[in-house]
Amino acid sequence: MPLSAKQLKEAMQQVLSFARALEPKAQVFVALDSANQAHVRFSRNEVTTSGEVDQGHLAVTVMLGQRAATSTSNQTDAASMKALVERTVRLARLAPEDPELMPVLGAEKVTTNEAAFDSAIERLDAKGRAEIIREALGPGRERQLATAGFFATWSGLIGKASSAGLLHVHPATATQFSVTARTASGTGSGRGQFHGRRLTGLEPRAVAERACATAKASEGPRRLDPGRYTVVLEPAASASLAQALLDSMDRRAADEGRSFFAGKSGPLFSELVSLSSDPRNPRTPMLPFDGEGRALSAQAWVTKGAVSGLATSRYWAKKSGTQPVGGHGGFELAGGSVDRAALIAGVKRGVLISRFWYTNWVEAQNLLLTGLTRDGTFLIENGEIAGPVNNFRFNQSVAEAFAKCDALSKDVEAAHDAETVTPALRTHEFLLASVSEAV
Amino acid sequence: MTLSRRHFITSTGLTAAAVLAGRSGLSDARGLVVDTVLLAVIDAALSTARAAGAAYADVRVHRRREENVSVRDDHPAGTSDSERYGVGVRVLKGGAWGFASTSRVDPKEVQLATRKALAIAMAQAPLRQRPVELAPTPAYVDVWQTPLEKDPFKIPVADKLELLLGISQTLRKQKVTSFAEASLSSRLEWKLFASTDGALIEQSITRLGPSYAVTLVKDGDFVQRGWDGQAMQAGWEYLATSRFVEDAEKVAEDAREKLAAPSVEPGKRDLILSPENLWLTIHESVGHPTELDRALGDEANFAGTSFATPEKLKVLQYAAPAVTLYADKTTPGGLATCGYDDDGVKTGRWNLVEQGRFVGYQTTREQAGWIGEKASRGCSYAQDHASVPFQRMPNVSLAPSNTTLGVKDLIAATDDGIYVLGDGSWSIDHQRYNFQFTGQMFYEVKKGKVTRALRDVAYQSNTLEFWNACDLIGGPGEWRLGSAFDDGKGEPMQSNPVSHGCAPTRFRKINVLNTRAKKGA
Repeated sequence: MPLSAKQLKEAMQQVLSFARALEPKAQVFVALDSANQAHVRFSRNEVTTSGEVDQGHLAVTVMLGQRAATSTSNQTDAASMKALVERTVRLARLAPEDPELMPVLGAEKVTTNEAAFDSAIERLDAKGRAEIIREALGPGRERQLATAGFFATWSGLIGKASSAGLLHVHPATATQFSVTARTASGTGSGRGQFHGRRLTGLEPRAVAERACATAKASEGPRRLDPGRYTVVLEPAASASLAQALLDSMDRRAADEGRSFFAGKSGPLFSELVSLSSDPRNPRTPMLPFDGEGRALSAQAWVTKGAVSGLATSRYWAKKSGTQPVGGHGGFELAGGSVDRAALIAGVKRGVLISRFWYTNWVEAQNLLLTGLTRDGTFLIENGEIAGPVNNFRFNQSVAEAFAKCDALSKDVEAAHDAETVTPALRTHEFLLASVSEAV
Repeated sequence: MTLSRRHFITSTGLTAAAVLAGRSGLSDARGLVVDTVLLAVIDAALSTARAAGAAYADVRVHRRREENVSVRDDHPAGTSDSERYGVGVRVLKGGAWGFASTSRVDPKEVQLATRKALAIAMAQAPLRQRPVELAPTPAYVDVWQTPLEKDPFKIPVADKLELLLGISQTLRKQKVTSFAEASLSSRLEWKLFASTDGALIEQSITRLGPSYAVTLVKDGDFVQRGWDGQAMQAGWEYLATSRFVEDAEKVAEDAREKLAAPSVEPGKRDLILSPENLWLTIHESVGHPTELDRALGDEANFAGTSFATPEKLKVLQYAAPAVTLYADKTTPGGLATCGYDDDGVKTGRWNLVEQGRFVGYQTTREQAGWIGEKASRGCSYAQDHASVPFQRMPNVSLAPSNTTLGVKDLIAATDDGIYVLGDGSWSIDHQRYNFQFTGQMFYEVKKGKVTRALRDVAYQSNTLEFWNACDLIGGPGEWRLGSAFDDGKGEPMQSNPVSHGCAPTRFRKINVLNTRAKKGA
């Protein structure tokens, strides 16, 4: 059984007390999570593996002046925690001084984000999970498509405490459900997915139906040559680009001259592009504090195409005379003003991309990202979907993709994780560099 | 080491005390399992599963320890020590798997976890169309451990930091702005496996991951050069043979050369790939496609499927006739090397591609029957006690040629090519056709000689075209292992450490891209 809130709080206080006994002047930071995780996996229209685990994660950081060490363990009995503290103190005593070490944070008031927790997830048992999978298996079996999928739940508590008085204990839940359908011919593939902090809204059969519909629609793709195309990216694909952009937005790397953002000012992207993180945004419910326990508020990263924030650690904020920024889990790429259908209607010749796969940085200087299209790629001609085409490898500057964006859909979707929503997006001269035979 | 399993097989249904009484010889022989609770834990899981009518059950007591020490420029950037310990129980009942785990290594907790696993199996059983069947395997009772001289966990952290700070200092001896990062990761995986088939196996695996990189910044331009060395299953003594310290000066020089190097002209070129680059290409284009679960669709929802489907076995010309690629969980130093897999199957070596022909798959006990094989290849692995074992990649390597060819010979034989060192960016499609890789250093080869360094190089190809374009393979003298500490697969995603060996190898007329081209790569 995962720890209760009371047990979690007591355990963290016990760790602080062990450390105080050994090194009364030490600064100590404790992070303790305790959760129940469960999953069911299926493929070829039948269940493959299924499991349930209780997970604990205790991390203790001890700072002796500018010397520090961190130890982690999943054992939360008193003897194990005491041993962990002793080991961490020993390591800290031996560590050289780290000039970048920042003091632990003190008491900070945060309000529980009720939207980050759903007791229905906590109550779901093996039979309940099996029922969800039974519903999801229907469409594939009925339409002779091979479906594979994954359903997972996470339910637990996240705690932070410090020797300076910090103490947060926050409940959280999350679920993810996805289905990939493949046609018997092996030439069509589609995917449906659901991410949320709550079970509300999860319709397993509908998710599987979406996957099956895309698989059938994408069957028998025709050959389309590589080249630069106008592309319409479904939310799962736009989320991959937005996540990559956000990952690259670091103030220290920019200040040190080793980032695309070094020395740049003014609007870098289309004025339609706005990217932000807000724990209280009901579409992206996050914890109200970061990994160090620092209270989080809304943060704009890109506002109407201009950079309005770069992630900044506490050390770099102090050194550069700015404020710490970031530590949020997810983000929202703001929706635009048109329906998804209108994104396609405005394209004379282009490509509709359902999602990307295996994205990876190629070149940091120009934010060149590579990756593949997957699970439904379609030719657009004269404002309509003309039919399925082969998949592609893309080699594309993320910065250029957002600079050339000329439309975003009104609706946003959690196609990436429970803390992130993105709209469909249209951009131009997107380099589909080579053909991928994969389906 | 020969150990009797008779007592264990006959006593697993008895009380913990009886089990211990019958197994004192084994405990003495190992000298490692001294905690009497562990045998009681095993008994609690297996006897509970048996009593409930499970067709099969196994239990893993699993401890992972990881120590990471890192520096940035002239100061430490973090010292951490982490440990995860617990018990995972897997049962087969009603034709379906059920899995549960607990971090409390206690017989009562393990009994509860086993009951939970049984309930999960029964809840899922109606959702199976075909019952799970396991290929038979002998019930081994054995111990296995990494051969090592010095346990890296016993080397003081202060010594490690001093070593890293020295390397960082060497890397930053530059006339332009420079940043250096260096780290050492030590990992221990200890596990005790037992099954209702009668297996009892204890293994202790030690891995060491050293790395560093320097970044140079000049006039709005920047480059990074990382060390070519690789993680290894080994003790601390590995560092002495790896040139970890000695290479720092050369890496610093390379970075300067790279910063000043001209950008590559894209086009078709011959590629000579160093083992420290080619290992990753082998991993993605041979290691993953020959996973049977992937080929049959079990990974379709995440990592994808494979072009190498079973009807192509012994038919598909995967590579040029000179190419033999083999799987081997016994390769000395390989990160995936061990004595037994997490199904309790003894590990071995077999060919995946033989003289160019696709001939084999990676399998587990559950999968062997899917392609009519009678025994598992021993590829089951779970990253920790809380993870379900499933098919994971063994070390997959390119056999060296039966020659004395080295990289100098390959360069001398090349008229217009690029010699690529080290690994960089990587990406491959979800059926393992289209891939793209970069590297660390690139040298132009003209008329048999290295003429100058280049930069901004990526190579892109199709797996079958690439491997069929292989025409020169180095001999055993320059055969080396490259490795991935954390290869991801599965849902929930699990990490698998794995290595790939090869000698310098040449591939003809491969598509080379320029990653900073104005018109795009």
